Amino acid sequence: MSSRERQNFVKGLLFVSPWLIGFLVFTLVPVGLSLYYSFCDFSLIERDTAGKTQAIWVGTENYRQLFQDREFYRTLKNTGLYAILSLPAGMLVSIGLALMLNAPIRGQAIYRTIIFLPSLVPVVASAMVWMWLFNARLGFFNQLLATIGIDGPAWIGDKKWALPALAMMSLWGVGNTVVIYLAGLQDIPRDLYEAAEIDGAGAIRRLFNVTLPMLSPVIFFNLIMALIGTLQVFALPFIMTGGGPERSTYMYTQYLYEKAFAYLQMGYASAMAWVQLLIILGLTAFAFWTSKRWVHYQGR
Amino acid sequence: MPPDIAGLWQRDLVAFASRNALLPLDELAAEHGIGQSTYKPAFWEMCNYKGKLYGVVSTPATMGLHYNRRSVLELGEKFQAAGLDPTRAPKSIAELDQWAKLLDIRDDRGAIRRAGYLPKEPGWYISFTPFWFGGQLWNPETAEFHFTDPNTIRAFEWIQSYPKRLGKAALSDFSSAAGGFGTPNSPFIAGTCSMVLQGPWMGNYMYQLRPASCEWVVPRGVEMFLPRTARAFNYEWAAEAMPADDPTSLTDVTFADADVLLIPRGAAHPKEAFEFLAFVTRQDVMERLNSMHCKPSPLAKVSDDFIRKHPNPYISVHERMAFSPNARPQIKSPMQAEIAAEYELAIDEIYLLSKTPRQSMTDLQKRARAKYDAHLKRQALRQVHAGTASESAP
Repeated sequence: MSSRERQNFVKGLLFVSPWLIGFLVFTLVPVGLSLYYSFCDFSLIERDTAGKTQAIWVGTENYRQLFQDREFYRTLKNTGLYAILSLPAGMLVSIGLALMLNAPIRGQAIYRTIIFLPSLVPVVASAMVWMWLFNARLGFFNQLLATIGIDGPAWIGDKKWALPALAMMSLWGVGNTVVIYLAGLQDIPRDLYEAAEIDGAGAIRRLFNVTLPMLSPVIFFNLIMALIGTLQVFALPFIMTGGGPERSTYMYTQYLYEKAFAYLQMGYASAMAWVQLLIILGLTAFAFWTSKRWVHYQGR
Repeated sequence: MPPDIAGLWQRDLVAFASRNALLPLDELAAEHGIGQSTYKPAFWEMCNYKGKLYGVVSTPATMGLHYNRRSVLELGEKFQAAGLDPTRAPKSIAELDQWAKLLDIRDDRGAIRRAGYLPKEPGWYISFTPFWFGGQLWNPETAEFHFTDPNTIRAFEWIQSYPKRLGKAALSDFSSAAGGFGTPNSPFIAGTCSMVLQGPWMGNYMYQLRPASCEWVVPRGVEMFLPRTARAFNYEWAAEAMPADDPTSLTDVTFADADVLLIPRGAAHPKEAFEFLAFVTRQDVMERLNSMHCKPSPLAKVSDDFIRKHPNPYISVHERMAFSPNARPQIKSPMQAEIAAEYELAIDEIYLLSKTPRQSMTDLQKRARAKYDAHLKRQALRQVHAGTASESAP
């Protein structure tokens, strides 16, 4: 490395140093510490007689206890069910909306803005609005159902309906995903559609044989992001149901949060976080493995 | 470096003290002449853990029955016909049930338009209901939970009698339309629930959110000149000790709670910090602070002025409950928060009629025991690995 190159290298490092320091202090070190604490009995507030924080190495005890914990399996099941309901629904709705918004119609920009707007609403505000929409007596859904003679359920107040209601609500924020799908749709070469038309393909054939295969890398990207997001779901159930009724919406991340900050078991919560990471990593790896069969990249 | 002073809910004090995170205050308190005789017994008791003092109470609370006097008096004839006296609070749980039935208003569809009493409105203290039935939740001597105590089960059978009588759907319907606490639409303030188990702050909330209910006869400014005993007539609502199941053996039962001030272990200026705690504990300061909070005083000595000028017209009721031998604080367990979450699930199961109280409490007993055993195991592991440990449970 010449002295000029070295100088440039140092300058470059200086320029990226704010990010680098932030990454080290706020990401890398906490991640490393959480791995260490997952093998410790550590509570954040626990002190020794000298007033110093105590983290006691307990080996794999946290992991052993975790796999015997009923709440671990309950929250895992609830989170899995939520993902099963909200992930495909979210993808179908967002692809459907993107296809509609891609059609050359008058006021297209206005529709696109309307669809995108809800994703800008803060999560607490939208949770409050939806709590009223789901309200058993005065809510929009039950009023609507009442007009056709159906006595609606208590939604988030009913243990059978609470989880599907939350999954339904998750569709509210599909605006971001729709924008990404739209970009993907506009990237599909027109000549492919022309060729398909010449070959006599109708709208449905064009959708399945041109649009979806060409959109598959974008679908795959959104699938991975949604998978990570839904398996970490926290804010909505925490605000809207607090995990109830009867823990029917008690999610993994809420349990993790409570273990760390309410029950003061940071070591146990760290172990939970690492198990969650491994589960997400495993499912992401599985999605990558299956992607060879259904994701088609242009130029390959 | 921790702060010199921290404030906590009393329910969290043991969790922090048992983890060695708080400085024992006995010596500092003794230097300032603060001791057991300074406080009403319940409030002294709640700040001590394993024979050591870990905090001082700043603002205390006792929970009592708050009822809509106006609604009751409007139904005076019906009350009298049922052999009830509408001019005083119910004296037993059975009487409270009779009151509740008379006060209930339901429409043609069976929807609750006004509820007499609902155990879950607001339900903050529902887990302490066994206190009014002579039940014990936890024995600190033996470190055993008592969720299957016959009196505890009876308490929850009483709670379950409400969804059974009124209907689960009607209750869900009612609560979903109710406003949150601290809003004019919250059921007691709006007059749609006539009796609630609540704390002394209701004096402030009622005045802020429904001032007319605090000026039934004369404006508030004039009320202060009325004799102390006459002040209550100016209010559309009243407060009294929540009646017990057996009023002959249990009187003035209450759940006593408090905000506490404490010094974290490792604080840089513990002596100076305690100076402030001692200042807050001074009778005049404490009375001023708690007058503003609409609460009673935690101190054993209370001035006449405190009672006379207090913004809560029922402060003598709260003072009486605070002094009562049946004023009972929170479970003193290092894992209180975790047990409380399990308890909440059990109450959900009972209130939503998913399980009988006996089933639910038996399951809770098992879950609590398992959690407690896991906690003990952790403590033992700490001792093995560290050679030292924070205090073991309970």
